[in-house]
Amino acid sequence: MSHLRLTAEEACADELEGLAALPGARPPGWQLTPRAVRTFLVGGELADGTVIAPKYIGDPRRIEVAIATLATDRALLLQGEPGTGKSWVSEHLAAAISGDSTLLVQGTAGTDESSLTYGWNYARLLAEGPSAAAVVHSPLLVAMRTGGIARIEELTRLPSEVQDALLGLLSEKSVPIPELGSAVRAEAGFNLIATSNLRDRGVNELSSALRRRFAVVELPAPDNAADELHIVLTRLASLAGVPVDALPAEPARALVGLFRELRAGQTAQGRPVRRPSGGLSTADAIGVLHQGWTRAQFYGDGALGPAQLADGLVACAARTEDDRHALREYAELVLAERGEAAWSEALRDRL
Amino acid sequence: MTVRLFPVRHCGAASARALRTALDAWSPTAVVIEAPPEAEALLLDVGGGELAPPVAMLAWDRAQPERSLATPLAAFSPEWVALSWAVRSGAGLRFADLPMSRRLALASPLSEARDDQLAALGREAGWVDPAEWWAELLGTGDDDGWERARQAIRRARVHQDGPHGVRASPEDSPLEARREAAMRQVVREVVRQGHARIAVVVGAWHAPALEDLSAVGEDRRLLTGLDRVRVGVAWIPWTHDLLRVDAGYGAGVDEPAWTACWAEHGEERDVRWVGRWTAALREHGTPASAAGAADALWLATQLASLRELARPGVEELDEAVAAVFPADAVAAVRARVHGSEAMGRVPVDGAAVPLLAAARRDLRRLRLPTEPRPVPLELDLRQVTAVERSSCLHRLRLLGAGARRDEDEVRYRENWTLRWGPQQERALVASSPWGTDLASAAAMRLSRQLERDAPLAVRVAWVHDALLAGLPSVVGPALQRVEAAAGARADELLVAAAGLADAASYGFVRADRAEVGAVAGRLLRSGLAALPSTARDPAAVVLLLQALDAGRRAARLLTTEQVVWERALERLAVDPAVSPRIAGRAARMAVEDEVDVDVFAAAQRRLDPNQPDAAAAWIEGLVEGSATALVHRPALWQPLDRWLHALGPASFERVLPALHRAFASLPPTARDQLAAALAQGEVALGERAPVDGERAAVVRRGVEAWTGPLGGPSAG
Repeated sequence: MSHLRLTAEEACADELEGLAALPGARPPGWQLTPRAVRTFLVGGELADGTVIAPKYIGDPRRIEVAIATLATDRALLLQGEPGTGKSWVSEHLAAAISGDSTLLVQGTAGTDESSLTYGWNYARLLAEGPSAAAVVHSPLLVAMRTGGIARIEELTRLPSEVQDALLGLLSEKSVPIPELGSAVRAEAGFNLIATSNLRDRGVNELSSALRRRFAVVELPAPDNAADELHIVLTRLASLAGVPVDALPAEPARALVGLFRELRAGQTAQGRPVRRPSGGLSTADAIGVLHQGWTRAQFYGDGALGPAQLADGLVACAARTEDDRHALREYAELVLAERGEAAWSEALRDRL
Repeated sequence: MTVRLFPVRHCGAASARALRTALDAWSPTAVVIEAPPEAEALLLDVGGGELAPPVAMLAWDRAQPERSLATPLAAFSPEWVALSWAVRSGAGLRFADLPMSRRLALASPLSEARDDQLAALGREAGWVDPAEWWAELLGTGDDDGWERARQAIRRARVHQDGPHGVRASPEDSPLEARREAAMRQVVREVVRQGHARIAVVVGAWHAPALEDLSAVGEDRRLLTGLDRVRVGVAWIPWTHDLLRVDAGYGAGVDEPAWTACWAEHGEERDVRWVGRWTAALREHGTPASAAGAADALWLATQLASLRELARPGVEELDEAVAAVFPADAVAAVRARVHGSEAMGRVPVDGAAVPLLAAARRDLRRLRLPTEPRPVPLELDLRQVTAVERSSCLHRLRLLGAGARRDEDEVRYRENWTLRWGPQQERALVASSPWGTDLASAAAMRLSRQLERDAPLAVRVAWVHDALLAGLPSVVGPALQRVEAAAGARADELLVAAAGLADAASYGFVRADRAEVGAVAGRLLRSGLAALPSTARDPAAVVLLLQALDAGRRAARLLTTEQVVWERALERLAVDPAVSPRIAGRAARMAVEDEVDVDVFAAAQRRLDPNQPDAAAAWIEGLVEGSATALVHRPALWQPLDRWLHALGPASFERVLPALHRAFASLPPTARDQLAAALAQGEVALGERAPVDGERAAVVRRGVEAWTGPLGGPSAG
């Protein structure tokens, strides 16, 4: 059987094994030294020739702050625009530090306190009364008990009162279970990585008390086209299960170029364009490319070009009628004038 | 007799601390410091309360004051520590370096030895930050530490200089070879004077070259036959910000505030630095608890170990603070924490350049702010002191020092932005040959400018400058230069006349302006005399339209020239050779100024159906921007209406854009006024052709297709 998606520790098992062999002091409960974690995230080559692929492309100093935070008392909050790789970094940090990236709580408006602390196995509770066996631990509590790294995705989507449950957990490093008269106490190595979206600001803004329990690292959008193309191709290769060289670089470059122009609201030549309100993140570009690639493989002749990508671009960038106008203008004025006829036509056909 | 070398990093906090310890412990009887010997004259000021670092010893070539070299000293400079120690303890004190009189005579007086060399050595030794490396070598500043530092640098110099022995090669780096020779000469002299313990404080790179004091003859050869210039020296205030830049020592410091913190607090520097942040955050209104500070320190320590540093540096501390405290608040107080605006103080009189001392006196007397950041200042010239302050600021502006005049709307008000710092003081030093006080220097500088050939507008600006800066002696010569501007065109003359008339009417704030008014009148008259010929040139139309406005303003301000102006207008309005747009404008101005001109006759002549373009241009001149003529002289509608009817379809289409331009430029109220006058039949138009009902119906249907049914009688 093959899983649709491997966890970070499964996908990078070889790399992690090589890094684990590196000598050096580890903070209590850590599988790797902080420097090895850094190498795992930003890439490098080991003495034995093992090449560590970069997981985060961008300023390594930010990753260093993130890693150092996890070795202190504070939890880590990764902030950024959608699609800047927050979850990706979070997952790989957890995999590298505790060898387990699966202790995850997905933050939604419907998440309740028991998803962060503990709940009950009601069949057992009714049959046996409150007992240790009837308690269902949340991923956070599992992480506390095992001294691992827990993750919360989209922290600010959690209702404020549920967020408050984290206050005691993060400062006391223990969660009392009054029904049993006991408490779950965190083992050395426990920490928490949360992500939150800058676009969601104001949804359920963190209270200042909770903010004080986090160190915040902001992950910016890739600041140059080459980095972004690199990220897109690497991720697409792993999604499609093919080596990077086998991917069509030219359409990917063109697509990343379009995304960057629309996102910035101006062309590479400095001419202003209207910015559609839809998603234009690096992750969206990856999605569009993956979709186009899949279609070309299974329904087309395998060639990837504007015709295969335009659908996806329109679908993700254009949310409103206004956005469609903006894209149409862009196709007719900018692309057509610049002689990118294939792109211009492919987009116009779909608008 | 013992000579002990103390190799320091310029602006190095660890060096300064270690040096203080060493001096206290060893108590030398004489201290030799790497600094220009001429600057010894400035030492009298050290120890008085008026000198506070960061300051710089500025040396300049008296013949060319813009050639200057500053030797900056911060509180954390080892040189500053050494000289204050020597002054305090009464030890002998000498400066050792190539005299500035020789150095400023060179094509490039900038040092060839850089701290980069030290940084490179540090990196070789496995240190990212050369400051940390040197700090580690020196330790607490005991003898062992200094010996370690001496050996490290000696190895590097031996490696570089090779066969020459440890001294800079006169072929490869002539300046450095001579500087080191001069330093050795001074050390020899001090030795000859028989001091028991001599401390020599020099940039680390030079130290090994001062160990061997033999080869006297060679040094003397190196130092003879050099060109020399006369130099002046003075203290000038310096800023932390400027310390970032390489200066006389060829060494900058990236983070002056951090270095100062280090120098002051030593081992506690990281705690104190985070403390600076939390204090600034609290002042900003952001809660920053001690617990948060502790978290930031912990994070910085982890970060340092991840980066394989012995202890956190300023970058780690800043990054940790930014992660732990709210990002926007951190960004808001960053400038305050890094405190780059700190500026030193120097004695107001002291050994300063006379011009600089005079400027400082003026600034203090007039209570003008002297801060390194831009300070806005608003002057109400109806007050006597404000006029004096304004003159002072204009003088500074003329000397290129620190005062910028901003746009102002009201005549009796001036808006300024002031900035006072080392650059401004240097600008004054550079201006020092012009005079010994601001007024004489500004006057001299402006007089020199007058000698240049320049367009009329610039010459008028000179008159303004002379008046505004309160330099009466220059007003006359500047006016002569205005009148001497030969071959100016009519439009230039009129604009210049308006400019001078403006200046002449400063009357209520400045002194007597009769002379200026007289020149303005002469300019106006010659401009008006030249007008008719220029007005025939179709290419000059746009410039002339503006010039007419200027001429009118000048005539109004001067009052004596009203008659000349009216006569000129009349001639323009009636002369058939004047290009039509100008003639139209002159006609309107005549109506507006109530000049007795037969505008009706002019209109009849100008509105010729056989010359539709010229006629349209005349109308454009008449109407563009103001409907006065048509409102006050309703009779004008008649020739206009007659002309329009007489146009054939082709001619009509030709003139339509010009007419549209003219009427569209009117403000909405004026257009309403005209439309109302027409609708109410106040203006008598000629015979109208009867409406052709059939053709009107076609138009009506077309319009109704867009607007829906129109009311009123249907033509049909």
